[in-house]
Amino acid sequence: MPVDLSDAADGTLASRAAEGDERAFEVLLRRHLGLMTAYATRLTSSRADASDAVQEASITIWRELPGLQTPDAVRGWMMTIVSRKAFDLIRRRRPAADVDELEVPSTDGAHDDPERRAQSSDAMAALQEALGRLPAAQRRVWTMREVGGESYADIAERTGSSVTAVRGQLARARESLTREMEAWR
Amino acid sequence: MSDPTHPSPAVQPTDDLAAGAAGGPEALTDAGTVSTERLADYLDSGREPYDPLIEDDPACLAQLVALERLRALSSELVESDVETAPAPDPSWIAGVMDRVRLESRTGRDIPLASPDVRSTVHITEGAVRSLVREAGDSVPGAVVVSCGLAGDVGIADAPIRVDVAVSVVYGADLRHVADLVREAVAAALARQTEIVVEALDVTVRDVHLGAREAGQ
Repeated sequence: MPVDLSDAADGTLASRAAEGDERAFEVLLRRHLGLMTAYATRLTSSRADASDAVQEASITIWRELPGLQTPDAVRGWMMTIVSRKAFDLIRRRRPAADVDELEVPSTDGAHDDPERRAQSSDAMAALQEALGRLPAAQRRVWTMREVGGESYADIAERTGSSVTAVRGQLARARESLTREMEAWR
Repeated sequence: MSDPTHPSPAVQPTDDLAAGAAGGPEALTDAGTVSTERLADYLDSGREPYDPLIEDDPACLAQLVALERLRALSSELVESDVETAPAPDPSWIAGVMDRVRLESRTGRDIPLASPDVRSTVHITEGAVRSLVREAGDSVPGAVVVSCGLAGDVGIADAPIRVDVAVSVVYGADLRHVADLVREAVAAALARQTEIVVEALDVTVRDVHLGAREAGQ
């Protein structure tokens, strides 16, 4: 009987997958699929696009795992690939538009579900709405930092701007959000 | 983040407080004299080292608390995204795994002796690694992390060094488990390949908990 890998550390799974263990890869993928999907959905504002982006990302993750230097940090690295693929997809969908100017619908389908709305706290719903009012570029930068945990340098590379500009956008996003959230302190 | 009451983002930011030095013109908040960027960096570093300019200024402190609260809510929002996401479609997973198998990592070809001199038979490096994993995993308390084959694996009878790294369950006798792994791997290689094993090293790379330690 094959050993149970569901308790194995991320680093163990990443090392095994890098050496060709497809089963370890599947366990790793299933473990982080929820977060990958949530991240891609927030970046693309579309469940269908998110599913495509995560699929592309999964194949790329498999392909590039042998080059990963720190297997223990595989989760953050996976998230970086998800955002790379999400941005590729957004650009492909609207080749003419500058991705930073692109206005995507801000409401995520997940949050229209009444049952789910009832479950989430009022403050969380307020944050969701405040996020929806941010300019798309600011929202994406905020998402990459807060959901994806990505570095300023990676965010700058993805958005084609500078670290200074990213930090500025992030600060403006946080200022708007904290201002809007004042009622919920 | 040393303080467990400080909520962390879904994924820990990896980096780059140093980027603050490159800061450029920083917008000041209406509240105080310290920019939001600097307050956020201070939060990222777990409010260390203690910064009296921030901690002693009520307006800064209020904004710091607001940022902290925002971060906690953001984590909650992502957690709830993950929890309420529909279960992955089995056909979606199957599709990904099909594509993965199309790109399986076979590695180098390792020759096997053939009774017929006109033909050659090979076993792939990938198959040998798989064999090593299976043998090592069969030892209770051991999970193989990696397996390296060093030497001219493409040449028959060339001496090969095999390095196996394992994770061992917490509480087990590391030396004993490592010895069992070495025996199991040696037996499997002898039984199913013709590799001349010059050295077989087992390294305990990690200790894992029997219960879930996933994600860390």
